[in-house]
Amino acid sequence: MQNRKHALRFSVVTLTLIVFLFIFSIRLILIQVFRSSDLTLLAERQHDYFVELEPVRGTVYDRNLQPLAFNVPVYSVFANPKSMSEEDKREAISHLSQLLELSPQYIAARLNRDKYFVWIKRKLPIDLSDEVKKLNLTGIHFQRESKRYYPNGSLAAHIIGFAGTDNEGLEGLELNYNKYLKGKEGKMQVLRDARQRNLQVGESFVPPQDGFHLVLTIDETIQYIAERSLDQAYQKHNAKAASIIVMDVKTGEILALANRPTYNLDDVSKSDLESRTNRAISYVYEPGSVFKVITAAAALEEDLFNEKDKVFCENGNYRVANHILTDHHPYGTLSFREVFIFSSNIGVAKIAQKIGGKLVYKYGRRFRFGISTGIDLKGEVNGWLKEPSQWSKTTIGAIPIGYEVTVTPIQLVSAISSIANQGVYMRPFVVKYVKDNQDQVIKSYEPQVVDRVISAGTAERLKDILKGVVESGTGKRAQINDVEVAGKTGTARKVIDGQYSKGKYYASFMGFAPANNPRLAMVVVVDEPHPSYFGGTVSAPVFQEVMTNALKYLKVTDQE
Amino acid sequence: MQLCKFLKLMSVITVLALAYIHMQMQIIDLAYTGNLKEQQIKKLIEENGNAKYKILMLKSANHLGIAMLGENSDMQFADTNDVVQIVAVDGHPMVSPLGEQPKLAKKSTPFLGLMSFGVEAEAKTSE
Repeated sequence: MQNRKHALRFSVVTLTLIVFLFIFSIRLILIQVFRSSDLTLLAERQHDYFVELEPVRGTVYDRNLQPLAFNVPVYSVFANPKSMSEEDKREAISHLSQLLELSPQYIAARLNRDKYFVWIKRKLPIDLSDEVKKLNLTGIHFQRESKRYYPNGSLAAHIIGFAGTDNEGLEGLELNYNKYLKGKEGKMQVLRDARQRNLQVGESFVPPQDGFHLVLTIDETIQYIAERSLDQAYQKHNAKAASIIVMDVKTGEILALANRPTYNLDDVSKSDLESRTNRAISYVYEPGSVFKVITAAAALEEDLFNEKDKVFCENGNYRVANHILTDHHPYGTLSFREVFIFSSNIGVAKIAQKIGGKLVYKYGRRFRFGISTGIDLKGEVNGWLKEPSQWSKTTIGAIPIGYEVTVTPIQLVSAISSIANQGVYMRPFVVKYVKDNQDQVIKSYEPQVVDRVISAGTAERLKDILKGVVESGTGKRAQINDVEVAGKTGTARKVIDGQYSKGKYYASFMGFAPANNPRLAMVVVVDEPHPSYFGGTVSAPVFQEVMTNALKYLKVTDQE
Repeated sequence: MQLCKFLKLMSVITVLALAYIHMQMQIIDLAYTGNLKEQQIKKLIEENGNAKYKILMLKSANHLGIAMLGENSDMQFADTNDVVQIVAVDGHPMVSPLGEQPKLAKKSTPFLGLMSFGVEAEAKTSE
C-alpha cells in the first residue's frame, strides 16, 4: 500500500516535470526558432541607436584670413511635457521666462502640448545655457547644436549674407556657396544604457565632413573704412540709400562693397527686404554724367576726336529734336577735354551726334552695360542699354550723357576699372578660394580677363581727361594730398511717376588712384541726397576719404 | 572516461565564455571612460568656442573701428610719408631718424651680476 502510494506520487511528480519540461521546450523553440529575429530586433531597437553627427559649417574669411562668419557650439533648450507634472511646469515657466526673455504665456502654451518634445528656445549663448542647466529643471533638456556668428555685425552684410537656424545658407555667399560651406552629416552607432547614456561600442562610424572655408577678396579693414564713410554721408545728406564698391583694378577683386540701408547679420529677424537688398549689384539707376566717359572712350578710340578739338557748347541751350538740353553753367567753345572736365551735357551730346548712336551703343556694350558683369554674387541685374534701332530722336542727346540707360554700381566700377587697367576689362569677383580644414585649396578663383574694351593708348588719354576732372573740373573734392586721382562725377535726376523729378537726384562719383599707376577703383552712389545733391559735393568727398585711408592702409604711394 | 572528457570540454568552454564576458565588460567600461572623456572634450570645445567668439568680436574691424575711430577720436591711419623705415646695416650701429645714437646696453657690474640685474646672457652659436 505504502509502495503503491510512493509510486503514484513519483509518477505524478515525474509527469508534472515532463509536462513543464515539454512546455518550456516548446516555449524555448518558439523563442529561439520562430521569434528569434523579432526579439533580436526589439532588443536592438531598445539599446542600439544611430546618432547623426552634425558637421561644422565652414568659416568665411576675408583676404587676410580674418573670420567674417564662423560657427560656435551652443545649446538649444527643449522640454518633454509628458514627463512634467503641473508643479514642474509652473517652476519651469517662472524660471525660463526670466532667463530666456520669453513671455510666460508662450512657454506655458508650449509646455501644455500633448507631446514628448517641444522646443523652448534654439541656440542660446553658452553663458545663458549654463545658467539654465544650473536650475536642473525636471523635463527640461538640452540639445547641442552650432550657431553661426558674424563678429562684425552689419559689416559686409550684403556680401556674406546669412544662414538660417538649421545652418542652411539663405542669402549672399552663404546661399551661393552653401554646397561648399555646409559639409556632410556623419552617423555613429551607439549603445544606449538604462540611463540614456550613449556608448560608442558599435563598429559603424561615419565621421561628419566639416564644411569647406571660403576666403574672400574682401579686406575687412577697407570694408570698414568704406562703410564708415558711406554711413556718414548717408546720414549727413539725408539720403534714401547709398552704395560703395572698391575694386582692385588689375585683378577685378572686390575689396569692399557696401550699401545703406543695411542690416545686422546677428539679428536678421529685425531687417526688412529693403535693407537686405544688395543695391550695388541688383538695383539699376540712370547714372547721368558718369556715363559720359563711355562717349569719350568711343570718340577717342575711333579716332574721330582728339583732346584739342573744339566743341561749341551753345551757351547753355541746345535743342535735340523736341528736347532742350541745358548745362549747369553755360559754356561757349570748349576743347574736347574741357567738355568732359566741366561735364557739359551739350558738348557731349554734340560729340555723340558726330560719332553717331551706333558707336555710343557699341562702346556701351563693350563696357558691359546692359550685360551682367558675371560677379559671383546672386541677384545681379543687367541694367538696360537699348539698341540703336529702338532709339527715338532725342535718345542721341540722352544716352551719351547717362539718361535713358540704366546701370548698376558694379557695372560702373568695372568700367572705370578697365580704363585704369589700360583698357582690359576684368571680371569682378569676391571669392578668392575655397579651402578645407588642412588648408588645402579645394577650388581657386583666378582673375579673369573678359575683354580688351579699348586700346592702352586710348585708356591713357582717358586717364588724362579724368585727372583733369579732379584737378580742375567737377570732381575737385576727390583730390588727395600727394596722390593723383582720376574720376568722373555724375548728378542725375530721378524718374518719379514717369517724369524726371526736379528735387530728387542720384549723386555719383567713380574714379581710381593713383592715376599714374592705378591700384584701386571706386564708385560711390548716393540716392536722393538733400539738400546738397551734386555728385561732386556728396559722393566725391566719400571717395576722397575712403581712397585716402585705403591707400595709406595698403601703403600705396603715387611714386610706385 | 567519457565523463572526464565531457567535464574537460565544459571547463574549457566555461573559461572561454568567462573570458569573453570579461572582455565585453572591459569594452563597456572603456566606452564609459570614453564617454566621460568625450564630455570633457565637448566642454572644452564649448569653452573654446565661447572664448573664440569673444576674441573675434573684440578684434573685429567693426569693434576696433568704433572704439578707435569714434566721432571724438583724432586717430587716423598713419600717412605713408610719416612712416620712417630704419635699415640696420650689419656691423654698424643703427642711427635713429633724429640722428641720435642708440642707447648702449647697460654695463654689467659685479654687483648687478650678483643680483641678477645685469645684462641678460645671450645664446651664441658656436663658430
